[in-house]
Amino acid sequence: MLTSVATASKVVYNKGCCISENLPVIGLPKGLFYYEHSILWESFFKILGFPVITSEDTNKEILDNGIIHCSNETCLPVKVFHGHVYSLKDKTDYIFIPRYTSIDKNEYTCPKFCGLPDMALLNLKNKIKVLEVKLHIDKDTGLTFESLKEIARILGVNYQDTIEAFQTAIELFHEKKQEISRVNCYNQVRDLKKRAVSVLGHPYVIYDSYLSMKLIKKLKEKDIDVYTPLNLDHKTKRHNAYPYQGKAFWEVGFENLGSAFTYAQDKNMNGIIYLSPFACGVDAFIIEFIERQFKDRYKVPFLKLTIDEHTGEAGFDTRVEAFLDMIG
Amino acid sequence: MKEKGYFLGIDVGSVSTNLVITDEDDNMIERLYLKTSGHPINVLCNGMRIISEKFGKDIIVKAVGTTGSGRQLASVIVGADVVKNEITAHAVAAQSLVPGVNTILEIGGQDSKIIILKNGVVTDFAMNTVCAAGTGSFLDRQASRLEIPIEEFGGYALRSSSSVRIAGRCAVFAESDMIHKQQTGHNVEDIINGLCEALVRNYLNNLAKGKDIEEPVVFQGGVAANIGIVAAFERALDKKIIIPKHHAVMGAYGAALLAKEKISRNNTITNFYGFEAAKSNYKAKSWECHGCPNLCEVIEILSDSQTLARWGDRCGKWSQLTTAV
Repeated sequence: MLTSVATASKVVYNKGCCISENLPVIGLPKGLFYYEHSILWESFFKILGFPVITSEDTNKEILDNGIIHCSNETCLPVKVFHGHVYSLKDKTDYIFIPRYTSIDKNEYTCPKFCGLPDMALLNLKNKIKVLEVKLHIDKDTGLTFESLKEIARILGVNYQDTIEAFQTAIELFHEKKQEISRVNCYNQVRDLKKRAVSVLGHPYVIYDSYLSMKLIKKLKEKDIDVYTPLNLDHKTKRHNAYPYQGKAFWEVGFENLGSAFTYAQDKNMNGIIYLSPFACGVDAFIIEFIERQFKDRYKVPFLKLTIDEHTGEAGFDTRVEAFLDMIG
Repeated sequence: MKEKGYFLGIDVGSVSTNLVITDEDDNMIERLYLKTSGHPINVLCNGMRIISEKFGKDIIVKAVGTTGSGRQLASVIVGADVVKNEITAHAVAAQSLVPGVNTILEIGGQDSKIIILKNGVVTDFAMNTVCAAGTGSFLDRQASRLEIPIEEFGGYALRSSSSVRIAGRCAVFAESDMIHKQQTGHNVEDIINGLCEALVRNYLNNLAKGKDIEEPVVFQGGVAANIGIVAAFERALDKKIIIPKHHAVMGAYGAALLAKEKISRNNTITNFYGFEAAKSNYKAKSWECHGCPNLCEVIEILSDSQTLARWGDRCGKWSQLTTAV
């Protein structure tokens, strides 16, 4: 994997582009899209030959700066994302913030993703320089290439090389994704001596150990096998995403819908926990569907955990402990 | 003959700290309901002193259980055998006093919960989410704003003759709505009744949404003392609400039962430090750790300048230093 990135970047170097003493440094904020697509974008810039700095794991300083520099009405993950952008402000020349409007046919993302580059620029009072790639698959893939052209212009690289780098990065991303699903692939809960719990939620919530109050780690420490949407393949999730099988308007939602109903069918799944940031619009719908379906059809215990700015973990732990007591 | 033993249950909550002593037959022989008043350690030590003065040396504590949001803190100070979350503790207590209970409504100082049981097993529960609107501390605040003792607050609601609608979603909205209604001339009884109905409506919409509330229904926690809220629940659910005699100390009672169960099952000796330990001088201090950008707020519990426990650090660097208490 890594070697192929290295060889690929060498190829570009040998073409003679972007060799300069002071290459601009690209910052990659570790929030939102990062948890699913970091490989794609990191590879993209590295193949083009630019140094990439990823922000640190979320910590209190990042959270505090995010809250200070973001508008008040957004959800916590968006605020935290701003904290990550802020932390890269003085370390990098450009901060990469993609504009995900639609990443599949008929599917749109959360409105905050659609306006993320603008939001960051406004909230940080234009003190940062942003590079963006537009992804609007439903409407027009041409928009993506236009934005790549703009990146090529800003960074002073050849447009054709940029397109090639993007395509190679996408291949790498898919390779890695397949590798992950091969390793983690869920079929059914096998180890019956251990309890099995599935943790659902947006990747930028459940895999960010600060936002999730280390939920996955805490469960594993109690000798519980943890399953997340990552353990399921795209097809299975899509197939089970009642009531939106085959078509979900909100991409982020159907991952969780599909996972919930796939895991609920497993008799050996002891419980399902949904971790949701306060005021998430997508989750408001998704969780309602999950709760109703669970009540009518499945007997799996379900816990909805809401997180916000709290750093006191007592209330969070109480709910998790009580849930584990309940599932026995 | 086996010597007679007693069990101590402690519930350190946000508003009240409760201590309960039970005997081998699960009878509650002593209960203390003390206001936490922001000083959980002092109040807990004070409670321990009251019990030891009353019972002296006659009492052999065989096991101790702690619960409530201050359960870790209490456990460090008294030496607990069981440290249990308040949902499990409340469920155990209600089942013991009301066998066959199917629904438990619980409203405390900062938390409200609903617990659903089927055949004696907890099958579902919910707790209020990020905000504490509609719990005991909010009622306390409104009572003191209206200069009505909290004990009489519920009685006012029962004397209401016409209903006034108060916004119930958020405590801040509720308070401004109450003030607006009061300024337009509604009388205090009707406003208080409106508030009770708003809180019950909010509770049922938030916590009980989609859950089957089946009888017997038990209502416990400090707020169960408020007859206005009880009446509003009965009206909204159209069901009989059972209030256990010891409704305010159910968490502590549950903790005592859990402690007894654990000690008898494992046949072990208690970790209890004894009532004497409560006479030491406990102090808690906190500081911000600057080891990394997380800036954790570390808390240290000291007994006569000796460190008993530390917590609050995400990486475990401080808490691990004192795991051997």
